[in-house]
Amino acid sequence: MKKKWSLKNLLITQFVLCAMIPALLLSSLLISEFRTIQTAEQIIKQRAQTEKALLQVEFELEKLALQLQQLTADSHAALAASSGIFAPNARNSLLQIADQHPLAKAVLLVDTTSWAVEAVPIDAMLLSLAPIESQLAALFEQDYTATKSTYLVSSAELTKSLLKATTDKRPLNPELNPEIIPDVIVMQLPLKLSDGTANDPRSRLTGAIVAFLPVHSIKALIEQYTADATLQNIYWQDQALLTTLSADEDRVLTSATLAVPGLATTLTIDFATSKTTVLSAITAMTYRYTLITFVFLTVVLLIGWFFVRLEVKPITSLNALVRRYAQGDLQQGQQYFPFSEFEQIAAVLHTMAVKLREHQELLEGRVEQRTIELQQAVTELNNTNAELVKMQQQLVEAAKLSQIGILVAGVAREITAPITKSLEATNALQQENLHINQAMQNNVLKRSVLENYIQESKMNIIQLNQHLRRADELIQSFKAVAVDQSVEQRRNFILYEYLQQVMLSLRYELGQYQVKIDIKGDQILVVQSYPGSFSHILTNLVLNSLQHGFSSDQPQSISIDFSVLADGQLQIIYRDDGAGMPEPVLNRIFEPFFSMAGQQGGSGLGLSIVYNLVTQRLKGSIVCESQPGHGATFIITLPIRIVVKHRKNVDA
Amino acid sequence: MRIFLLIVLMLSFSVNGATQLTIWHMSKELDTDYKAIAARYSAINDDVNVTVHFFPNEELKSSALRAFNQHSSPDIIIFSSDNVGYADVMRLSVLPADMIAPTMPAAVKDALQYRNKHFSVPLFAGNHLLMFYNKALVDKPASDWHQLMAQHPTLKAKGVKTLALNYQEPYWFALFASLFGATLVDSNSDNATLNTPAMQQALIFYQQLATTGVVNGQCNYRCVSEDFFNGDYAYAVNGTWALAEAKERLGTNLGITLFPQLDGRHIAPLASYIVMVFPNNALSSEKSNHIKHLVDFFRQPEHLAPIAQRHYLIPYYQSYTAINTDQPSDIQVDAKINEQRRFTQLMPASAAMVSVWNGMQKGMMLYQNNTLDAAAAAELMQRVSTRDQRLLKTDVQ
Repeated sequence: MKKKWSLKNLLITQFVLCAMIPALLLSSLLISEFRTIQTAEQIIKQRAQTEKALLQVEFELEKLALQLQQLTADSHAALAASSGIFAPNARNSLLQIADQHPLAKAVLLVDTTSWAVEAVPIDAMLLSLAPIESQLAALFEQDYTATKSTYLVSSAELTKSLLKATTDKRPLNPELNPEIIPDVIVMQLPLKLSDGTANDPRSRLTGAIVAFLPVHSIKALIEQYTADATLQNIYWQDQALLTTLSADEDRVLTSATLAVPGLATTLTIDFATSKTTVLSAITAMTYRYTLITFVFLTVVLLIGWFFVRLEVKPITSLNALVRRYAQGDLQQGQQYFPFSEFEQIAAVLHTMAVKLREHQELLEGRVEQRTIELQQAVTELNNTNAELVKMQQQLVEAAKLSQIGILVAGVAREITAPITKSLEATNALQQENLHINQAMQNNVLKRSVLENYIQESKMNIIQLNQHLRRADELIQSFKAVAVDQSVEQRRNFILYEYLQQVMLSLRYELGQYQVKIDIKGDQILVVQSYPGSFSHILTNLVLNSLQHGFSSDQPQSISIDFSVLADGQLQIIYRDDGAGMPEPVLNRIFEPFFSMAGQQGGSGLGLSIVYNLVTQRLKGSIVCESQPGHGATFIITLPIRIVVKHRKNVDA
Repeated sequence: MRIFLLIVLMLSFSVNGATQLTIWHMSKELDTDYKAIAARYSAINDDVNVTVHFFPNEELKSSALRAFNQHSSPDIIIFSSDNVGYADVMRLSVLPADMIAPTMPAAVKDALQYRNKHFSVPLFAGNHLLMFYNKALVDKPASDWHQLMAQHPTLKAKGVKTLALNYQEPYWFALFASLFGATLVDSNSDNATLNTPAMQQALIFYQQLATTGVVNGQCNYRCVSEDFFNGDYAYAVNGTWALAEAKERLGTNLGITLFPQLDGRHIAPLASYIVMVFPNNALSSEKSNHIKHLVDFFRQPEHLAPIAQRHYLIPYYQSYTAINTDQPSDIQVDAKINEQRRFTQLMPASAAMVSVWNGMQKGMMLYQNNTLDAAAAAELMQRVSTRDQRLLKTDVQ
């Protein structure tokens, strides 16, 4: 069974969808807009942030360069390169610089033999200066003309040593810094002793201050300043210093340059921010919104549920009310609902129920009355039926009487002619006698007249005799048939002869038509049965053929074939070549009072009587086969007692 | 900047006509006393104005050298006698015969000689490190390092730190070098002798004190002074110069004990005299007479005796009398100082001596950073000291 939608669920769904769809569509649009705006803002923000960060780094580098420059101006440093007495002072200065500039992973004070007089951190004392050996040598060669320089050297070993020797409290996190950039920015400043500020041969080069700034540390500092953006790569003279690039994901990219004091060209630094990070606020907002939406929808759902419940409850009550009405509970009083519409429906229903109840009561009264009337009608019908049955019997009897009447009429008609002839012969004789008598009295009797008289009398007597014989024959015949029809006695009779007699009794009716009767069968077969019934059956069949099948203006034929079947039953096949019957008629021909429309003269009981005689009286069966235009055939099968059978050898 | 102001001040005084005599010293504890004497001298002598300036040890030395270039050298420097080893670079005046009293004890005379010359006038003796302890925290002071280490858990449980050391100062580390028999210099050859197994052992033991928590490796002078005085530490190693303040702050809770022994070996604290020297050949300048007069004034018993008494020092008067005969202010403390003094080792006034500290400190730090092992650290100490000593022989000017 197809599942039906619940109105409650539909209403709740409607509530939720009405709340959710606009909310989701609007929010999706807004979130999409926010994402675009956020990305654009991120580019501006990232550029500003990274440029600011690089400015800060540049500022720190400038400060470092300046402080290193100031340190070289301090004779303590220059003296420390040539005397251990000044080592603590120089060390303090270096510590101060290192403390203030964590970018400088090592600051060394070296003498002109590249001996590390002081180093901060102390581990840098052992730093191999091989990577900058040539630059230091060049510096020392210049003696008092030496100037400061900043350059980039690439040495993984130096970088590792610097990062290892660092005093920076921030540990190097290998996970965050998977790749060590081998490049180191070196700030190299000559230390000179002179009486004045003049840079002339009176000055003496005592050593140099060397500050090492690993690009890795600069990168770390930049990353510290640009917490929101990831440093993607650093380019020095268009060469990428980082070879391991971050995973290629959707990012916001910007570039900025870092000018290192004294360095010939700037460093170009690419920054990237994962769009996931950029849009984290939006994502968070989306999550918040989702949560709010969920809460909102929950509230809407609850409100919806409440309202739907409020709305559906009267419907449910109404439904129950209607169901109770439907179940026939029309006695319930009017129910009241919170909504006027339902109230009106309930009122209408109540009114309908009241009216229904009234109608029901009325109907019940009527039904009761009708039942009584029906019972009366049934009783009457039964009576009528009984009367009808009685009438049918009477009709059957009447039919029988009618047939007897027909028979009597036939007898009367048949017997009228011989009797009339006989009377005519008697009248003629009387006239002859009168004439003779008169002649005798008048003595005018002549021989010839007498002879004529005798001749005529003889003729009349012969004729009278013939006609009386004929009348006797007729009477005997009619008597036999009449007796069989009126008194049903089982007796032995020769079937063939009996059938001839029956046909003979119908001479008058047959005489109205050009009918040829052909009876075939064992002429000596004697059966024991009710010959009257046979007479009735054949009479009715012949009358039926005459009345309904035959036309008086054309020759017709009736054949009656009888034989004893193998099972001992007698089969009589009555066949005419009349008009035949359509199937609807064929199906009803044995019904009482069925008569073909438009045909006159029938009671409608003939074939019914045939049927009853065959089936009830003779305990046999009868079927009729017919088609319009092809005559009708009645096949009668009867259980019958054979008294004398046909002897085949005799017949042969 | 400070030196610049000082020079301006000195010049201003010269302009006013009075002879300006400047004394630099490196003892913060004695600064008030020196200034008091100077003030008294200036008050008595109208034509001389004496100013006293305190500089920390290392700054004083470098500032003195730099002052030569700026023609603003002090006239007198008061520092520890081992610094006489800077005689060449500081152009210390060799004392004229009239400043070397015949009554000067031979031992003192020998101790203060550098290259068989006298460059310094002694003011006090007894300048060395001592083992302080807080009687409120320690019932019985440890006489052995194992005992002291054993006391550590108990003290720690009380929330008291065990031993305050100025951990990264080589002068403090030198105590432990002596514990293992290391001698910093060879007096005969005047060379540093730092690259020795004893030095390596000392480095290892010193590091062990820090790793076991007996001392704090990050401790500085504040630990041995202020923190100890506040009762944070049970023991502290500080100099005799801190005794006065310690006594004042801890009162009767101050205890002095001999440095703990290790397996029967004693610590020999490095001791020195507090001497006056005359940089940039000051005694040959036009102010030499004023200088000599001021020195004599300084060395009068009425000036030195109160200072010596207050700071548990042994004064050396102009007459070289009354040495160590003043009434001790605290019998127990004085007794322990005297007892400890028996184990002190006088730092020779030599170039080698003044050259060891830089190297020692670098070696210590590199060893403590685990950058070098003990052997390499000792070797580096030696190399740096040798280089510094070589440079000292070079005329930096």
